[in-house]
Amino acid sequence: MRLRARIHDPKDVIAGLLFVAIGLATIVGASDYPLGAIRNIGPGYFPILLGVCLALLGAAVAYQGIGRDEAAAAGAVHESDEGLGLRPLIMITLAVVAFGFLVRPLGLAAATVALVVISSLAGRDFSAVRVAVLSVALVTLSWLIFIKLLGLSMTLWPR
Amino acid sequence: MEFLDNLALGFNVALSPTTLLYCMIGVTVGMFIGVLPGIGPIATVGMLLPITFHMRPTEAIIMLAGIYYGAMYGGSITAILLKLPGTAASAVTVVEGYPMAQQGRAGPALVMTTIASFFGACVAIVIVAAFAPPLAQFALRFQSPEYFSLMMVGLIAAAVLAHGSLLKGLAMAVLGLVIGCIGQDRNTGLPRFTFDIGELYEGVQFVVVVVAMFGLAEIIHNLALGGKHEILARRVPLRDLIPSREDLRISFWPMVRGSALGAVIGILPGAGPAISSFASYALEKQLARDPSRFGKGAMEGLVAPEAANNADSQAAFIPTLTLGVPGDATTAIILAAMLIHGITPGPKITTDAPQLFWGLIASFWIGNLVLLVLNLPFIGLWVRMLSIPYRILFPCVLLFSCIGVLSLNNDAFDVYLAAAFGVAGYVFLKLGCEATPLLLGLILGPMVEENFRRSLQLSRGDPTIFLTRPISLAFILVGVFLIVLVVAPGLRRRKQAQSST
Repeated sequence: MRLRARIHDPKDVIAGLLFVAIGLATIVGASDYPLGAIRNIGPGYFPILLGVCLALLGAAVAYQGIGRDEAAAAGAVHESDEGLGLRPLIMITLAVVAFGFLVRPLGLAAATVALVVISSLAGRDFSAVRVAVLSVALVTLSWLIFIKLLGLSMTLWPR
Repeated sequence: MEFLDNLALGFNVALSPTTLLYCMIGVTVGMFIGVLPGIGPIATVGMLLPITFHMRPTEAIIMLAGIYYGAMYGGSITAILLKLPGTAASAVTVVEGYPMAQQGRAGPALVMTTIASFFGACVAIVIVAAFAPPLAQFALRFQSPEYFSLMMVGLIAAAVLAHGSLLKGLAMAVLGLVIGCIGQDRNTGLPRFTFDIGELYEGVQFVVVVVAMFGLAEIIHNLALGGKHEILARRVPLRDLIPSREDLRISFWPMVRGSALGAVIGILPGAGPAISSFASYALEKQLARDPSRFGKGAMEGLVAPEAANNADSQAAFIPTLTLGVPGDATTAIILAAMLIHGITPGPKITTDAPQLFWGLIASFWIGNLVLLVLNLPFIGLWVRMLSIPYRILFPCVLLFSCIGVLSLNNDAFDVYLAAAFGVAGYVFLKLGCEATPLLLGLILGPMVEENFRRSLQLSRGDPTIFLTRPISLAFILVGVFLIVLVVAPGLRRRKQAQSST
């Protein structure tokens, strides 16, 4: 509890720790690659250097979040928490993945419909009519633009 | 007159029917997405880049550049009518433009921003045409250490100008460099951080990251907020558009000052149009006889930043084209687009690809003229477009993003990668880390590493080479100065806070 009370900006702490973690992972990952000599650096040198920089910067960001002095913390405007937005995060990501998964085997039409339906679930008001109209319109539009006009190599229907 | 010959060549290229068509498509699309809230020019250029692969390089670059500066025009419309800046640079436009709209002067505000934009762009185009060749001449002397230091300045500037803390910006830039390492090492061919995934050998395509972090993450963010915006004027009658003679008179010198300031700031690598418009607004407020009018619809505060950000977005092409170091995220994408099309921007571009260089500059002028013509009579139409609801807009953006990413390599892997980067982008957005420095790091990454390696070869392993060569040292000092500029006010405030308690 005492530590909690001293954290003035949890965002900074989380972001900082995230950077530290990525930096350390970079160092570990790059340790397999040859370092080379300083006058002729190998493929491992630059990533390790970056990893060290990133970890140090991350530590500084995290420190900023913990060690703010009272005056600065009092002056900081805390933006209202607008929620995590988990629903749009999941639905939009799912919609994109579904599109990628379906577009090769089933064609652009099915993938588009899936994308429109799933992504519309991310919003607050879902209307079946609107989604249906939008799906048809977008399938037609993307067929016209991308397949007819630009000649991208994709099929509209399952082959 | 070499200068006139060059311009003649440029107009010859830019006025050929197909190029003209692509230029018009570019600026219209730019205008369109500038007006539509929730899609920025960065995501749009990223989304449309794969489509330009089969076009000729000059046409492709002219179209993509058109989207960039077209969006500057469109962004101010939403800023004035919706209090919703379409681009970061038009955030200042809100301050004076929205009160003017509230006072029923939306028409003159819209027309004067258009005129100011055109004015600023014209001034900057002349400056680009005049200064890019000598700068390129100067840059011919640059070797690896100079390029490395210059890129560092670019990355630091991007971090400094990002919203939120400097440290987070720097960390994002370094993270971008790390992502840039993914793929086969250019020097030895050794695959790095590829996890044995064949698709990653070529590296992470920046289009994927752009579409994900500026497109998908934005959509998720907007949906999470779920905000609604009130439109002030749904219809603007034509006769209300005409600005008074007084409007024109008080606007002239602010436009001149704004254009000059924007052009100068635009030449600095890493400084985007947003900084120009803020600086120019501050300048006008300083110069004003009655600063209290500012924030309540002062015409000077509207036109000067508007001229500045358009001048900046043209002048930003000077470092992008002649040094190969972009001014902001959008010019970074255009830089990457040139690389994909096999053009290496750099000091030799004016001699190696004069058609592209001068054609692009001439197209800027034509594009701006098209925007002026498009803008004035059709303001009513653009205004009506604002009423397209977001719930219809975002699935369209999402679909076009996916198709754009898919068409890169015709590989669903890129779509999955975009989904992953979208999640990462949203997490960083939530943590107050802006994606622009990351993008710049990703694009510059391989070049930074290559120049770093060559510099150390040149100096036989002595890292002080960056400080002993005068031009390189100058760049490093600029970088240090930028950091001090940001850190110093904070330190002073902290000291005052300590002394007062």
